[in-house]
This record gives sequence, C-alpha cells and structure tokens, in this order.
Amino acid sequence: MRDRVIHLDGGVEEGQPLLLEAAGDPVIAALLQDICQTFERPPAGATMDRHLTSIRAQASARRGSGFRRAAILLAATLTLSMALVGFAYAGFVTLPEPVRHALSWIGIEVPASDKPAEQPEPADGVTGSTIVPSERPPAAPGVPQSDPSQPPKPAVQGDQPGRPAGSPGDQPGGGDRPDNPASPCPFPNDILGCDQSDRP
Amino acid sequence: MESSEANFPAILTQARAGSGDAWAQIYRSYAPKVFGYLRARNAADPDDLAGEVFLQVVRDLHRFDGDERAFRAWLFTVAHHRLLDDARLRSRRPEVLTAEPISAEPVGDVEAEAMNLLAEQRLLGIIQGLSDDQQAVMLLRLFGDLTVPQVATILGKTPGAVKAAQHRAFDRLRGILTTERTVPEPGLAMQENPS
Repeated sequence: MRDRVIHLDGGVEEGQPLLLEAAGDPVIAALLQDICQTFERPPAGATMDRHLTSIRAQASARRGSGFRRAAILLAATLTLSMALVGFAYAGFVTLPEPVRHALSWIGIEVPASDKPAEQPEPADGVTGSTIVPSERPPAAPGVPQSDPSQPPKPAVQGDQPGRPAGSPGDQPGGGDRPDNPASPCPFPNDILGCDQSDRP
Repeated sequence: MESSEANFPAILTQARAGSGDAWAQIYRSYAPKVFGYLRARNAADPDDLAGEVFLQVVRDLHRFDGDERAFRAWLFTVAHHRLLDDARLRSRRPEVLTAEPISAEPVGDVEAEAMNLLAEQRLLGIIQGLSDDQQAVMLLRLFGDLTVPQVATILGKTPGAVKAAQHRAFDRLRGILTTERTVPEPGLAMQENPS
C-alpha cells in the first residue's frame, strides 16, 4: 500500500491519485484519509482462513482441471488419429502423401487409395476408350508385304507350281499328256481304265 | 505496494501455475482494499462477497494479461460487478430475517470497537449522501488507486463523466461536512437519514 502522508495545509508527499487531486482541499483530503483508515483493514482471522482455504482449493482444482483437459484432449486426438488411419487402411479414405509417408516411417503402410490406379490422360483428340489394333509384325526381309487394307484372297486349288512340260514321265510310252481339266477322272485314263470317251 | 509491484510478475506466474502460496500472497496484499471498497459501499455481507470476488479471480485468471496496475483494475472491476449483482439479487429476493450467529472472534478493546463502529457508521452516512455513481467513482479511485480512465472503463462511462461525477461528489461532501459541523451530534444525525 502506498504511503498517504497528507498534511493539513494541503500538501501531499506521496499518495494515490485521488488524494493527490484532493490535496488542495484539506477538509476533503482528511475525510478521504479517514475513510481509508476506517474501512481498509484486513479481514478477521477466521474469515481470512476460510477464504484462503477456498482459494487454495479453487487454485488446485484449476490446476487439476488443466491437466485433465490436456489428458482428455490428447486421448481424443489419439483416438481420432487411430480411427482415421484405420479408415485409410480399410480403404474408405485416402490419406495425403505426406501423412502416408510419415506413417510408413513408424511402420504403418497405408494404401494410397481404395480406387484403382487411374488411367493416364489420353492425348487431345483421342478417345480413351478406343481400342487400337495391334500392328502386324514387320515382314521378313524380301517377303512382299501385302496390303493390309485389301481383303484376304480366297485359297485357289492348284496354285502349286506343276511339273515342267516335257520332263521325264513316270509312265512308259511317252511323256505326260497334259491333264484334262474337264475330265472327272483324276487319274491317267490308260492306267486306271477310266472311260476313254472323254479323251479329246 | 511498491515491493509487490516489483515482484508481481513472478507471483502472478506462480498463481497461474496454481501455487497456493502465491494466491495467499495476492489475497493478503489486496483483500484489505477490496474489503474496504465493499464495506464503504455498504455491502450486505462484505466478507462473503470478498470471498466470491477472489474465487472468481482465481477462476478467471487465465483470461487476464497485464501488469500490476492492470490486475488491480481488473480486481476492482470484478468486485464492482459482484457488488451490483448482489444488490440486484437482494432487491429481487425478499430478505429472510434470521438470528445473527454469535461471533467467534475474540473481542478486544470494547471501547475501541465501539468507537470504530461509530466512526464507520458516521462515514457510511456521509458516503450514502452521495449518488450511486458518485460513490462508485470516489471509492474506486480511493481504494483501488485507480486513474480516471480506469474507473471510466469499469463504469462504462467517459473519462469526462467520471471527472464531473468526482467534482460533484467533492462538492456534495463539502456541503455534508459543513452541515455536520453546525449540528451538535453530526454522526447520529447522519445515521437517522443516511440517504
């Protein structure tokens, strides 16, 4: 408490603001000092003890509640974090890359996402769903490459190269006669006895 | 108070940490002033009210930030609001008259006690000759060592209004004291008609 030395002639050596302001009026200054001395006194011993007991209990409760709040906050944070990691593990949520990286450091591998890996974005003008036929393998050197745009040719019988004419025959009496394409007999008539009427 | 101002930050830090000793030191430093304010405002039960004021300060200290002067202003803000709340509550609720408990306090000098009581009642009569605002301005400044702007903040008024109220209070006190001198027994006369 500040000293309040107020002289009756109005001078104040040291005091609080109101007494300094009232210093010019000795009557008021004396009255204010009288009020202070009369009312400003410590509480009775029993009252002070009762108050101090309550104040200490309240302060202790505040400290305890601070620790309790911190513990509850920590437990709630841990529970939420574990739940989030669990959801991510189950594939319900996707954790950002730094979080997954941090989790992998403590041995928890969380999949990147529950969705399949995304297709790369197609180039402009190309629809992503178009199936492009695989190209034919390049032909061997020297083999003429057929035009893939032309329809395939139907297979033709007898396109194998025949024996050259005049070559030594496999039957006595002369060379081979040319095959009669119109004859229904597929064999030489004079050997197998086919009908001779169809000879020219 | 000067030494308290010097080490107040350390005491406040310990009080924030829940130190009972720090709170006891704060209580012993400021309780006489708070009691003085509540008694001079003629609170119905200044002991209980002062206890509630300090308990609220303990509860709400985490919201406070400032030096010793700011703490004193805050403490008296709490005291003033508790006083208003108590007066409002008592005006709504009918007072139940009960037998006064016998005080366990040791009785000292009976004559001195009687003289103190008379002096207190005389001064209460003088104070109650002021309006409510004038009482609040003068006693907050007196017991809380508060400046005009601090009192203006507590009362929700402008500093000019506080200065005007203080000026009128001093004028009124001069008039009361002048009347007191002309009456043979001024203290008793004031008690009969305190307002």
